[in-house]
Amino acid sequence: MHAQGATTTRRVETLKRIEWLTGEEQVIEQAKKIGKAILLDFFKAT
Amino acid sequence: MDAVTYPTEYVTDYIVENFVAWRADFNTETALLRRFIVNWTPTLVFLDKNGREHYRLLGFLPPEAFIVHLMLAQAKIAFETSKYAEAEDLFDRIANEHPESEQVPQAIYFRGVSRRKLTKDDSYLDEAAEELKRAFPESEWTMRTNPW
Repeated sequence: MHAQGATTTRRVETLKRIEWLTGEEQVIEQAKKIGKAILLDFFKAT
Repeated sequence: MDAVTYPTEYVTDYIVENFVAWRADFNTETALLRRFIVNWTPTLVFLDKNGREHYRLLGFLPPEAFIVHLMLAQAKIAFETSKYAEAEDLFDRIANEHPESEQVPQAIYFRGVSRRKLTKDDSYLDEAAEELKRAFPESEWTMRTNPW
């Protein structure tokens, strides 16, 4: 008979949020700095 | 997009990990609207790190369709900036990880072209054309392979 393990793993996750930038210069500077593409979303504020 | 697609965890994660997110208000950013020729929302324009456009989307998409377009946008940026290995990997992931997507024929087409670009081996074009004829005989992407 095997002893039952009583280990409980608790996952702690940090929920990510999209950080929307609004200034073109800041966007290009950030994209060049980290080497990522840019997603430009034209949206209608409600 | 704000109510459904962007808050979906795997969409949020993919954007955070792969893109710099930029928002422009359709009601006030008139110079950007003119520059990018935008007259409807939502319009999403995908740019490389130097600000050059490579892909765009218009209209709402649910998370499961949108995630494929995020990958496709990345793949197109890689392809059009001559990063063919990265492009090939992304097109391959679209075809294998999202087999139900309408974008799969396009991904197979560009996966073949990316492999050809990497190796100069024309057999990759034949392979892509055969796969498209077999799996997607009615697709426009299959017709585009006719000269191959």
